[in-house]
Amino acid sequence: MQHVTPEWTGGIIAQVLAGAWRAGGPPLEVEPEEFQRIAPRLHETGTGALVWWRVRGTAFADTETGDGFHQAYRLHTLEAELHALRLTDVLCRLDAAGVDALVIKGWAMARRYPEVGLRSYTDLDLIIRPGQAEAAKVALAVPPALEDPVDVHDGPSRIDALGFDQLDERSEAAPLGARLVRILGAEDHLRLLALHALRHGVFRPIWLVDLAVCVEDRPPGFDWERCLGPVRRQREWVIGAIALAERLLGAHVEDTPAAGRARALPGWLIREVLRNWACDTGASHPELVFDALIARRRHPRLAWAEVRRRWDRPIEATLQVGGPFNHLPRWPFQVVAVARRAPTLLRDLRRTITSDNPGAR
Amino acid sequence: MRQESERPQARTSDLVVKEVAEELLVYDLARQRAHSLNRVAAAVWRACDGTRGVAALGVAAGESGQAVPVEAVQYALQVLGRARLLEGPVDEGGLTRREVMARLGTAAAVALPLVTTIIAPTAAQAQSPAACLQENEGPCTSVSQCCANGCGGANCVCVFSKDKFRCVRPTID
Repeated sequence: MQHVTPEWTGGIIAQVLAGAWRAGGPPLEVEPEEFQRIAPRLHETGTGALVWWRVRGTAFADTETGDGFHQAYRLHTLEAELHALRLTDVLCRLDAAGVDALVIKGWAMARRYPEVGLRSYTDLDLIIRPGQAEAAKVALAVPPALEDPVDVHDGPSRIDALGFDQLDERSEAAPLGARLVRILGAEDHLRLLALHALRHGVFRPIWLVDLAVCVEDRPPGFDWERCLGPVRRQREWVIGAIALAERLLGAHVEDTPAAGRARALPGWLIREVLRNWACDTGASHPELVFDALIARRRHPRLAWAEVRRRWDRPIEATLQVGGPFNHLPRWPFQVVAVARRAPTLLRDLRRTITSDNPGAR
Repeated sequence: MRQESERPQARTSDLVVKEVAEELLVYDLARQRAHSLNRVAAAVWRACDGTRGVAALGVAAGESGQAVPVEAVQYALQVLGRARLLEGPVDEGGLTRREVMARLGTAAAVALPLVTTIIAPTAAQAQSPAACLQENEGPCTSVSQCCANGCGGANCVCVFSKDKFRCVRPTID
């Protein structure tokens, strides 16, 4: 019997998703038992519709497991229609409030897939002009309540080095029903998606599929200099993320700066991504460190797992420290990343102590 | 069973409709249910404009000059009604699928109208926050209270939402 390791599971996920976004992907060389075994994980990662797209017309489609993916395809297709209606509503509200918004990630990415339902997403991501956050908040709070969560970025400063005006100037108009929506230019969006994926440890396989779609479907005259930007380290990261999409998903990156880079990717990076795909290491940690540990104080195993989840994130640590994706061990980057967070951790500790002991000073 | 004098009308409000290969997907916003209509059911449903009786519906829904058999139209109206995709009261009686198949003959099984309610695959539901939701009995005053009450699974985090802390899966797309 196959010894199942996280890398093995991640590897099968990669095989199933390889080329899944193309009309004619490579033949699926996965055993039916393997396919069945990783099906729940594929559903969890939100790639169910894409898997159906990949296996439709094959022997896998006529199995019970295949039928589950067909259902996911139907659901995600309808969800995409609902998201479009809700995004229209959100943008109308923001228009009325005079808020400038650029649509990023979810809808803006899904529209580039062969069918919008193939790329599932749960919230609507917008960058608004800095200083308009309050007006946006008021506009979105007007009844009836929104049915999709809206992730409003007050300016792009936390996700990109460029300012709102620069991104806006380079943005494009995309049709959404009867209206036009501002989305990032192809170059800016690819950079933003690559860096976003890395900042979260590429824990969702769909993020690498996004990069593959962006690269293979890039418009004529795509400006790589504009995409990669002038900062050397950031260029390396974006190229590294695209090379990952080639290495794990078979993205066609010939004639791009990432050509030939996949072979040089460090083993720890590949292993980390596959492990994240297998185990769902989660995204960010909105819960504060000490709150989390105190809450788990009676469950040492959970507490230890929490410590590991927060520490064992070499990709995030590399980006936080501004390090390269090379073959050196990651622990020095992780140590520095934790040290840099020390002031935040101290604030967190003080807040936890005072909130648990209201009398304490 | 529908009488020839009846003129079924398809529901149009509170529905999101999307056509994909060989089927029509319908999301009922009012009931929050998703349905898949096969080609025959979709053709009958679209022909239900409130002016046609059963026989006329069969003609309107037919392809290449071949009308949909009356039994199949009756069955389609029955299943569409049960899915609440027609205006008016639901017709609870009627033919079973087996009876319709027997009348149509196995060779005509392709003409059998089907309306399937789409159910999320179990694991797919886990992607939505609701699947790992373990709401507390009442609102908590701190995140540690919430987590102490059971939120601490590998994939769950505590967030403040709707006036209380809740245990959810983080969503970042």
